[in-house]
Amino acid sequence: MQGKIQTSLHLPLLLAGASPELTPYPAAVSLSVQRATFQNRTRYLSSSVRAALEKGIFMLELRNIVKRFHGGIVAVDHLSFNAPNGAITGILGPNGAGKTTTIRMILNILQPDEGEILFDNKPVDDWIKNLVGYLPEERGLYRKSTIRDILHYFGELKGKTRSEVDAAIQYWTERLQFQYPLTMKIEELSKGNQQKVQFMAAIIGDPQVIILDEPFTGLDPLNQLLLNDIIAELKSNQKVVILCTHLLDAAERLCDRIVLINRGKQLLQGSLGAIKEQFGSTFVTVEFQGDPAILQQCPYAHVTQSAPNRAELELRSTDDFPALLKWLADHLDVRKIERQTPSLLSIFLKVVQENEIPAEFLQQQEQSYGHP
Amino acid sequence: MDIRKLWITARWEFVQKGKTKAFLVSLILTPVLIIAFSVLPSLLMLQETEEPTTIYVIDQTGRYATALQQYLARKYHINDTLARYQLISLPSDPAIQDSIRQVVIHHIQENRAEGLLLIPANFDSTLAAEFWSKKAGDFRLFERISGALEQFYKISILRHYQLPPEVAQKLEREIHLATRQITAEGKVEKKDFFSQFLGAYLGALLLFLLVMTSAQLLVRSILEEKMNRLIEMLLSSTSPLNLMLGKIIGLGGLSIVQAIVWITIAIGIASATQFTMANDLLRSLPIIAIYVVLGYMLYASILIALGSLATTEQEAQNITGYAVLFLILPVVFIAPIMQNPDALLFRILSYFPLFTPTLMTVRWHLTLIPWWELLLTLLLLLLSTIFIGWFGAKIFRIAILSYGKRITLPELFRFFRAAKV
Repeated sequence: MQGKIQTSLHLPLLLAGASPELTPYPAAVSLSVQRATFQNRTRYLSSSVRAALEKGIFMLELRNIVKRFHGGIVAVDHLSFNAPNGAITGILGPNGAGKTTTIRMILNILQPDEGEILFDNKPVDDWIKNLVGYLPEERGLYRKSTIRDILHYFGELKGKTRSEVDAAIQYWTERLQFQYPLTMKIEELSKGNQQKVQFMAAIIGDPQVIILDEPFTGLDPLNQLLLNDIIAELKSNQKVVILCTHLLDAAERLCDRIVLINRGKQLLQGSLGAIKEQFGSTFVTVEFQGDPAILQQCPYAHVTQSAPNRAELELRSTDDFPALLKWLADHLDVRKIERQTPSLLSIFLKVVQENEIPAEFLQQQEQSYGHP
Repeated sequence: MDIRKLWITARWEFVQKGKTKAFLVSLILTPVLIIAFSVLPSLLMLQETEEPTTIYVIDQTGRYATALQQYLARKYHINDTLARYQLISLPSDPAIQDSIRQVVIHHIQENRAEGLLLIPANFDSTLAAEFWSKKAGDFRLFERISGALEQFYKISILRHYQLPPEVAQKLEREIHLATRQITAEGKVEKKDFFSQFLGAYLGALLLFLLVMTSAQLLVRSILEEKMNRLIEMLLSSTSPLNLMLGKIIGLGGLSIVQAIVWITIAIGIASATQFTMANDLLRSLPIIAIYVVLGYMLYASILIALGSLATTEQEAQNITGYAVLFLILPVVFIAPIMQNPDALLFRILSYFPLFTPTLMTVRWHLTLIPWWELLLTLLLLLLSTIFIGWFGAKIFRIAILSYGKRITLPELFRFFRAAKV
């Protein structure tokens, strides 16, 4: 309860960007410590990877990745994409599309059967683990351990010293408005606060590559906003950010690049803008009051997505736009009309055969549509 | 392998599990319970009342009652003046037997007497008497009385054949056989059965307790990480091999702390009772320690591999239960091993790695083991510990990431071939 009130108090600041009373994390630690950290963490890395990290330009690259499981199941089928630093790359698709398997291969937990995964042109191996921060989809922590112990453990496993972890804890607890004593045990925290601790555990090692698997699951709207903000901060700090989600709406608002997969197969990949361009701009969003059912009778467009007060329509022909405007004004109490590029969902529906879409997927999209 | 990360995991397991109430309780409570269950009952049994015990005797032969009274008084007494047993001889007249017996039974019920010894008239030919008592389980009293009867019977036979009384008295004396053990250095040392037994089974007992407590912690720790999916975050930071070895070493360290506490208690008790035994324990300790540590590593690797296959705590307990059976099995052979520690069967079984730590520590204490046998068993144990550890790491690597379904044997075989450590 207390946490929520705090969140709402800070909300205007968050929406405006980083809170003014907080200095961005790297500056919070002195420069010499930063350099020491960097060298300490990178001492297992090859010189070229180290050079790329120092230069601040690097990229995670998957080339023709195939992963088969027993019984002939192809979990990942020739997947190729790039995730450069300073950008948010979304791995998108329904549950069971192969997202988690892909992540496990990036983390070197599983090895691909074919293809290779490169970090700055070097095939990844266990050294990648010091550079990656991972928030898994399923959440859980050591219930009997204290917050500080857990953060120390995960920070030190990423190659940081205890004092470096302490500095990072200082920064992130403030940034996440986490106000509980660090000597508290996990089981004494609310679910929402446990999630904050887990998020901290994932990024406490100041990773260069951050992989977030369904990070919005179970968060209340205020914390979803907070998380949006932090993801944007990680991007502006020149990290590789990989966001795995089945919520296309959220991905659309955050991602710079996307990889759309279904049943292990790659449907689309590239920058979000380019993909939208490719699918034309025959889409119109309309916000209104009234019965959305009437939209089904519209002669100029068909409904691709609808929520009680909001719908996305696709024009039958681009020439019909003026006629559509008039029709909408006649039939509904229109609040806002916007002609726009197609949503990710409508693109997804275009490129996927209908019988290949899992039943609950569309339902999930509808529920999340229009949320923060 | 990344030694630094291994160390971080080991330290984490050591500190976190060491802080738990369960560990602290077992650290203190286990020795207390062992003492309570093993030493206390025998102490209680040894303790005798300070009051003389009244026993009625109806002696129809007319020859035994007085002699028994004298014999028991000579042999068992509370202090210099007070005999432990007060034998009261009752009339053996058949006419009043029924009423006498009624009174006696009444007295026994009211605890005014311990029992009634009935020596029938034909005792010399049948050698059968009866002892009536409320406590049929008091085998000490039972044994003393029957011993006294037997002794006196023998003496009366000897007298019958006109042996001089002093000869008969000499025959009353008991023989003491003290055991002395020849050590590896060729010394002859005083040993008694109890210290032999405790020394021999110290290693087996330690290993059993360590596996039961620490290895259980190990399995539970894997299962916890597997169930709450923390394993994924851990594996994004460290390799499965580092994680597994870190756990084994961390929790093994905890076991060693536990062992040190327990051994200190054991030696404390031993030196308080018998000095030679404490010396024995100290001298055997290095060898016991090597076998126990290797044995722990072996069992830990097995349990970690099996435990990582489980998906629920109950399943894990079932699986680990079977492994622990192997630990108990040599304990079943206590009596035959103590009788003949060099028997061929035990020598052969000593080479079977799962039995090596227990059998060898037992035999080491009881007999002289040739050095090559010692080295060979240690080598085999070491090799199999490394092999099982490597195999366990392979299973661990795959099993910790598969949730919800039990892994079948063919799948296990495939893991073994496919997974890198």
